[in-house]
Amino acid sequence: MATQPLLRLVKGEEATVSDDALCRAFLTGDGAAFGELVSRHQRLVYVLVRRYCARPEDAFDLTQRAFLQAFEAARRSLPRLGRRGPVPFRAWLVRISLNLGKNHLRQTRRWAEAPLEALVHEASPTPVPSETVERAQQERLTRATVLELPPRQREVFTLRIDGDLSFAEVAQTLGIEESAAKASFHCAVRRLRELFAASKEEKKR
Amino acid sequence: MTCDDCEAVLIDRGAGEKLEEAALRVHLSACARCRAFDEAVQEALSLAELPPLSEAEEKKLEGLAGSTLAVWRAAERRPHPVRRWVALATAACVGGLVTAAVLSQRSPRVGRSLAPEVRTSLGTEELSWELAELPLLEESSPMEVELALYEVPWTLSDDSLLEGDVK
Repeated sequence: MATQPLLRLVKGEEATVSDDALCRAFLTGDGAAFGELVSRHQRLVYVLVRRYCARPEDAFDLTQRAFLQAFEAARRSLPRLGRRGPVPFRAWLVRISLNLGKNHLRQTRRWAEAPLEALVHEASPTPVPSETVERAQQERLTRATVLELPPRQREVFTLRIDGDLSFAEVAQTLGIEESAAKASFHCAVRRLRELFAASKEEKKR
Repeated sequence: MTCDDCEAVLIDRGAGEKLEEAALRVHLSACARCRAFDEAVQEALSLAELPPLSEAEEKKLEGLAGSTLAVWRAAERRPHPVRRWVALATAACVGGLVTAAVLSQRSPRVGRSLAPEVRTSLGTEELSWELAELPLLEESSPMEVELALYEVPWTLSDDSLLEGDVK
């Protein structure tokens, strides 16, 4: 016999409902709440993980895993949290996304799959316009350069630029002071400036 | 505003922070070094930015909720790995107990102490085996003969008087 959800979303009011309420509604059996939560945050998760992935397929895979892990974390924590506090679903999601991205990067480096090269050198049945190749090369360079940053700087940069999170949110997600997040961002930008300048010099030669 | 202050402000501006621009403009107009830094920051940030999502990516994102929910429900239907191990361990324990019970019915020694057993009597089967090994005594066996030889009659003869007896 199918169980009835304890909480159910009212149609048309999904956008006004908090993440916490949606999460609780889904975990008590309301499938619509799941869809609303995923739709609400899927773009954020995707843009965060695609920084670490050379192929869109990998980024989609990581996005899906991030949601599944966040829901699993919510299911485990809900009995402990009870009615005391809201489920920090978005914060979990962002943190899980970064961790999945970092793990993916580590694995691809370990297995030397060279996915960054694959983006450009992938065999294509039809001739690729030079403009597309150039754009792909630029994207590869961009990705590789940002991934060369030290981990903390990279995380702050990704959250601020890709995720469009405020410095306060970046600091909260990473568990650091806002001033430290800003300092890391400044270092990241200075370092990127040097790296891009160096690569420009190399091209000239 | 110093050059160091200006650089920090320029990076913040690059990050999209809302700032008071009047002092910045005054410094930039007078400082070529900071103007060059501003250009470099803008360039680095624009280079580091990933391109907007393609149509294919947008389309795939639209179907993400449905596919993720399907994966979640499929995982829910599968037995949890820990629960499966617990079920297997329970089954093994029950099986072991049943086997032990059956064996203990067959052999009374199963489950007893490992201390050496003191035998106080022979079992029926063992006793009959030992009796079968012993030879049956014959009716006129040497033992009976010996008993007859030492049999003393209750009536004594005269010769049977001992020294000192009075006749």
